Amino acid sequence: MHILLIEDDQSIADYIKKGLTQENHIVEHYSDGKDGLLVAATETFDVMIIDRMLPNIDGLTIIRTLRASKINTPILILSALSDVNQRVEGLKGGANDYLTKPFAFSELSARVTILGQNQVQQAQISKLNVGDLSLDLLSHKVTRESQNIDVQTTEYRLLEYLMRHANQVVSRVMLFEHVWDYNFDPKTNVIDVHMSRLRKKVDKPFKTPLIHTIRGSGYVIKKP
Amino acid sequence: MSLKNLKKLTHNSTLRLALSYLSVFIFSSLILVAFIYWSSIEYIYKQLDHHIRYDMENIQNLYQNEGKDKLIDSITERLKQQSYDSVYLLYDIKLQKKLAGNLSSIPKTLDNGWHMVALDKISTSSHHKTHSARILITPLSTQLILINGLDMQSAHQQEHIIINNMLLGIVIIFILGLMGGFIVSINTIKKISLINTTMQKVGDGHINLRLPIDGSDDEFDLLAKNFNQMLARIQILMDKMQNISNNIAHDLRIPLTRIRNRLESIQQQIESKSETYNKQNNDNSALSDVEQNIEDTDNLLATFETILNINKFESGVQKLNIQSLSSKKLLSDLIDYNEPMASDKSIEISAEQLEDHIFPGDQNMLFLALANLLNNAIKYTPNKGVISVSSRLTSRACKNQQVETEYLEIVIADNGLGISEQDKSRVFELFYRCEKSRSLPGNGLGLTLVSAVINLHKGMIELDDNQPGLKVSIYLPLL
Repeated sequence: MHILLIEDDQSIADYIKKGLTQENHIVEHYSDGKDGLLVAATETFDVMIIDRMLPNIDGLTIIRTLRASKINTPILILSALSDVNQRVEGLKGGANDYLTKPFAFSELSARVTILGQNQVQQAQISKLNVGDLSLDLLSHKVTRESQNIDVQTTEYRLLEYLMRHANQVVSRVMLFEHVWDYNFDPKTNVIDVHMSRLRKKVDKPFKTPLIHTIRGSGYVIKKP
Repeated sequence: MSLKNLKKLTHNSTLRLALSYLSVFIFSSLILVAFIYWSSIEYIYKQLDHHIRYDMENIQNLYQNEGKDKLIDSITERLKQQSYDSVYLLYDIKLQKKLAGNLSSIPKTLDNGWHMVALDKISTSSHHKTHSARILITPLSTQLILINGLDMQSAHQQEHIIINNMLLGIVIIFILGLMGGFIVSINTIKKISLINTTMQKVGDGHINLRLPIDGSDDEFDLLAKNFNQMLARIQILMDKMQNISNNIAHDLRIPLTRIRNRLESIQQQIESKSETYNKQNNDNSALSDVEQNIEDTDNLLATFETILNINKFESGVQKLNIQSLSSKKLLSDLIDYNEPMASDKSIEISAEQLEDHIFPGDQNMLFLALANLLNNAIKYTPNKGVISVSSRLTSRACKNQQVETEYLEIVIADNGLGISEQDKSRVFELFYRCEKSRSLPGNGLGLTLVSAVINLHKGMIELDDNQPGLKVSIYLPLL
């Protein structure tokens, strides 16, 4: 993916750049708000990562300007301001996601990947498939090897989110945010317990597991 | 003064002190009064005796100089002249005959010296009472006996006046002493109860309150000054402690995140190497060490974030994102979120009394707080236990206020370990852990966070014994 990074802290910028480049993304970095906005408005990117506090023009203004000029590139705000209100403000301003510093790189990577993919995905699909596992979005039926799997509401939502982002690492916080719709890091292993329940139903009775734990990062569902 | 204040007065140590001073005061006054009484009475009787003896000596002289007949005349004369209560009797023993005088009957004993006799009034006919008289019996010769004396009535009257005056004096002393004591103790009570109420508020957490200083430089002023100094010092220490934990958490968060990220990159390197070079070699001890390290760093980071959050909530930096929330949705989400942990321990979460009410609150903060409480309940409830979550409207008086307001009451009750009485007041402190739970994993921050969130919502939190277990009640205002 082609990623724009506007971040004035050189060490964080280098670190993000290095990490994302290793994952085969192309990263363009600007440390000044004005330069960043100029590039963002004239070039095309798959995802933008923008710090909130920048010299000359602050991150939120950049985002508002871009949205006003109908540039709908997915944007992730990176900020030291962890206040929930700040987050709400950022998302209202047009950002697609919000990550507070300090952050784990895996969290950033997972979020950026999903932001990039969101554009490609169509909302019209009625069935999600990963290997021999399929999830019917209309009837809410889950089947594997043509066997019905009885899942509860929460399990269904977890599986749906994982399958919508198949082959991508999904962090626990992302699962918590999307499945339960609360915006904070619960910092507990409750999500893991939910996941292990889901895996008991989806993976355990079958030969090959589809859901994998990426320790320290989260979960991924992928074809064997 | 109201009845309540009066009750307070009687239970007051200052008043007790004032009363004991008063009793000592009255006791010594009584001794003084008694002394004065006895000496006055003694003086009166001495005067009386002196008068009688003088009179007797005069009569004796008269008899020796001028003889018996003249004496009889003189006594009759005296009785005529002296209107006051003199008593005379000249008695002839041999003839058994009264020669002169106003004493109607002969005294039973005729021994020489002082006697008291009952006096039937014949001379002073104005009073028809029997009084006593003090008499002196003197033999004038072998044949004649002189009895002279005084009716005690006037002496008794004087005595009565003295007693009455002294009783009046005692009553006045008592009243004045009591009033003085009350005035002094009311003043002291006022000052002490002000100190008391202020200290109570300080104890309730209003550490920035100070005692008033009136500038009189008396003991109370000095006490207030010392208290204020102590409070200021405590406040500084508290701030320092909070700042220290806050700064540690804040400053260590960034290097810790870096460590975590480096560990993650090491983890990826090990994984890719083992994939490419020796897929069959299953010696993954390096990898599992790294993973363990990542987990530990995550736990540390979580602890730091909680400390920072508590600090943000308590200092008021964190503003709430108040929305209209449904109690049923919030609590159902909460139960749904925690249910697998409970079912792993075969704990049943009952939500039968879950009323749906709309109330204002910060969804994320409340979920965080309540999840902490429910998580605790699950953690400290034994296998196959029961936890009940309920919500209802209730009206109750707010802290330190008389007026009742309506609250949303959320109760999470378990039948687990419970919290001992002495721990109840301390569990909300930063890093405090109960004796019973020390062996279980935890950091002693959960309840501190919960109470900070509830306080930010201007709510209240109460811990009760569920017999057995713990019952946590949260009251959120509906305004």
